[in-house]
Amino acid sequence: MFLGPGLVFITLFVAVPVLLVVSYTVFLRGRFGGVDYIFTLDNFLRAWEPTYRKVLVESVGIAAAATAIALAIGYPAAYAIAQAPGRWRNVLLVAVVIPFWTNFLIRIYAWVILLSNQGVVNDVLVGSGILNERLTLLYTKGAVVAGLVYVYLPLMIMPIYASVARLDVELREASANLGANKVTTFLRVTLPLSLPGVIAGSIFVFVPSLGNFVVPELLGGGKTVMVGNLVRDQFLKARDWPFGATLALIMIVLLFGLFALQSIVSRRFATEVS
Amino acid sequence: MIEPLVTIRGLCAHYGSVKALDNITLDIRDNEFFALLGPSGCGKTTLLRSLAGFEAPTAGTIYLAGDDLLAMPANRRPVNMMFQSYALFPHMTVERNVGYGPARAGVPRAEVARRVAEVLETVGLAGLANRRPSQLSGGQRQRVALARAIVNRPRLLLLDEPLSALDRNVRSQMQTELKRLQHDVGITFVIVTHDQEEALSMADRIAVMSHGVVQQVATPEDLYRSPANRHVAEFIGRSNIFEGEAEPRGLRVPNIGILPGHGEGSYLVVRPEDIRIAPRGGLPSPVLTGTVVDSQFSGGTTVTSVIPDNIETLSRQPISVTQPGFPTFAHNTAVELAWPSHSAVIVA
Amino acid sequence: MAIPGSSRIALLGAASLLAAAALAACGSAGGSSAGGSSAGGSSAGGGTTAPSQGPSGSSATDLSQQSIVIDNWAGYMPEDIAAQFKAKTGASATVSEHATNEEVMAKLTAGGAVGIDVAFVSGQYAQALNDAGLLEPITSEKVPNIKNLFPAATKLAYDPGNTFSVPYTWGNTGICYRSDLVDAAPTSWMDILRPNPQYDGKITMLSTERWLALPAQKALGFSVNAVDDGQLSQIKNLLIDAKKHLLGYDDTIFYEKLISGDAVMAEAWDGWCGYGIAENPDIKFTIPKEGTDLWVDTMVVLKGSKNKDAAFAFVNMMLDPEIHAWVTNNVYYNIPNEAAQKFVDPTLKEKFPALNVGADDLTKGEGLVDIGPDAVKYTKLTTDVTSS
Repeated sequence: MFLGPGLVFITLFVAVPVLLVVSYTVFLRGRFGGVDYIFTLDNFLRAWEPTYRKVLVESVGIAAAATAIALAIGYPAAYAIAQAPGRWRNVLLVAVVIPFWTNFLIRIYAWVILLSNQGVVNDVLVGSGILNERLTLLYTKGAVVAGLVYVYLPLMIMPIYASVARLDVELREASANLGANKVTTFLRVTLPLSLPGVIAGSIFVFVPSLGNFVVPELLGGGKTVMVGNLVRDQFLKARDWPFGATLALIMIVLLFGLFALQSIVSRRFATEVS
Repeated sequence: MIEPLVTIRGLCAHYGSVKALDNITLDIRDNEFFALLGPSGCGKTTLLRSLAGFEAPTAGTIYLAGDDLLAMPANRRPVNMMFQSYALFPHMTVERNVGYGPARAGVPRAEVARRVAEVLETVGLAGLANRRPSQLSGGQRQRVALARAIVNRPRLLLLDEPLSALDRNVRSQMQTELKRLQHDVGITFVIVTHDQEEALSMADRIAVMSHGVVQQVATPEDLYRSPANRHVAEFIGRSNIFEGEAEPRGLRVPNIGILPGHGEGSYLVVRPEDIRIAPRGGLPSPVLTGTVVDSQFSGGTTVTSVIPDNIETLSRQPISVTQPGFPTFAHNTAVELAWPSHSAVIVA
Repeated sequence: MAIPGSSRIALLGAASLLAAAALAACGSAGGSSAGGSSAGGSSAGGGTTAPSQGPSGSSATDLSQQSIVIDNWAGYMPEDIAAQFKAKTGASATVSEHATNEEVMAKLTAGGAVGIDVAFVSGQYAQALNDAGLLEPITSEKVPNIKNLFPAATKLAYDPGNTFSVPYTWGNTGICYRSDLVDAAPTSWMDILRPNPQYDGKITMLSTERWLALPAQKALGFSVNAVDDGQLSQIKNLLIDAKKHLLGYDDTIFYEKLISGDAVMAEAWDGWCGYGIAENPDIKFTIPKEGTDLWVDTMVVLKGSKNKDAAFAFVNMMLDPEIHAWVTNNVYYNIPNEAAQKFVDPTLKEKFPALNVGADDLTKGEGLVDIGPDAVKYTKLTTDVTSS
């Protein structure tokens, strides 16, 4: 009975849209957008064509790289914040979130200014004599990865911070007491116990990275195509809703796999920590 | 004279402007069951954590068997600790938890397994090696924590409120077992507790602490019979305390005269079981007269509360008198009280 | 210029919002809004409500009870257009906006009465809408001002004779370049597809499907409406080959990259190159010798309109020379209205050479038409190229 409102919400805003997307995948493209309700499996065959397979693989690669780098930066940051004295902790957490107060596109354009050939990074590197020639930084895959890392880093830091901060200090003391140095304590106690945060953070970064189409366009100069661009283009440019829905469905299935993995891991930990 | 295992000299620790430890000087003997007893905030936990290496004292020294303990980082000290929360690693099995210490010490894998099996046998957890902490009861977790702390055969085992998380039945059973274990394994135990019964029943010697200062170090009997001061007397066991001026025969109190007792100071401590009680006119040389306000039978003994005439205890509570058997005095009975001089002590 | 003397950051801010709105726009849409909204000062004509030839077709009908909804790109007509319309005809109008052709197409084809009476869409989309039977025929009785159009504007490929659409703006796609940073002015699409090595990484191309293909289509001598698989394969190979010379694909701020010098040549819509020219006179625009496209934005009246008289009266009013000239004066786009040319600010023509191109030269470009289901081929081609 109390499930009522939640159930209605989920049905309206999750189940119906997803079912709509799923149902579009087996129909033909309508000429002006929309769908012609003639059954076909062509969309799935098309999605398997090398062109789209390649985009999918490359998207996963870029999103994975962004996730790995965000983890490499985000974990130490989250750890340091969790160790900071109470008053500083809140200041630092706010600092992590502050970029979210600025429009997403503005922040990405800031990177255009930073990375472009006549941009700040090149000005500094060449001006200070470190380099003789300007580097091509903008409109590369590297710029796409950097942009994704920058945009989604807070989503990595927050869950890791939450899981590190939650850890009982006595666990680390116990480890030291039993003869472990700081590195061993980190590797054998802190890291495994913050794994739920690491996995949550990684999913929070990986998922939107995979679906992002603005960063590849603005920082990749349109030379790098990700699944997000493909889906967007099918709906907004090609007016091919069924194929766009098919690509979207493939992403949804992929992401469900990830969430299943996460829930298995976090359930294991939930029972252990309680 | 035997060298003590641990010598603590002039140890001080501060939290901001609060003195957590104020010039602590203390010896702990080898193979001793030593208790740090006091109310929360008295500094006992800080002292224990200083021994473990989790607190850095601002002054003073700690030597363990001649080695400067404060110069060693926590993970190099031959000291193991059993945490109040047990601090078991939730992601490891019982076996891995207990084997954590030996593995860090570089003990070969097979030897680790052997030692773990042995110590689990000792604490009675033989069949549970592959369980995770979340699958154990409170008492079982406590044994794992204990096994993990003793498997390395430390010179010194620190126990921080080891029994506080257990319910009453398990607690008294564990008290006995801890005592037996300490005897069997021959490790020096330092236990922190706020529970005087626990300290009195288990420890060979007890340090009573309050406000960062050691008030007295003594055996349980000495603490009870000869408290060093009023704080110790108040903290250890039940007592009736009167304020006055010491004289050769006892404590001089206005309106009453002399209360029998021995010692130097302004406070006379007399234990409830040392006071004789009788109806008015029933005692040869009564010390005080008063009126019964309450009698409580607590299985084997009865505690009678008496409001004395012309005098008040330091706590302004009625005088407690413990007698064997059932209650014999009705409410409002006029009674007389007396005690021999040798069983009342006068302290500062 | 569209974005006067503001700081670079502010410009990028504006551009970023643009990018969000105009990712899929067909050249006309997004840029016009930025241009139109911030360029007000340079406008000469604008909101004058000079008496003009009354709409004779609808003069018999009392329009004061009628009201219509007009759907247009933001900033693509005067802000007080509804008031002007009311003053002229007595009918009331409401304006709604779209960011892209695809967006308005979705609205118009969603089925049911959508309530839009007049829509602004690009020519090939008007063609598609008409094929679907959604448009009301246009006649010179209903829209007498159609006589103001250049003769060339009545022979457009997607709708010869203007039977269901009325052209509103038009233009070509060419090469926008820094004359001071290239040794010789580009003359061929091959100058950006296979550039001299010194320009490697300093070239941008448009990323919207049909325009992404355009330079290769023309360089290979094919139609801008090519659908033959063999031709498309050649086009694809040439574009993949060209990609490695590019700085990137850019529909929205390529002129900024020309200004900064990050790029020296860019495939560009004529009007948008003007935004660069305004900032740096060394920026020039040229149509390569192989030819180019002709894009047209049009006005259409929906068959489902309940107030067709008022709808036609509105279309007719927009062709009023003084009102139509507003687009050129504010958005710097060419208009197919011969009678309106004398109301165009002459200083603008001096400043933006693209505005001097006559109708006959403009219409040498090959008109873009709807290619129906074959549009999918261009989506695939675009993906193949950009993901290569």
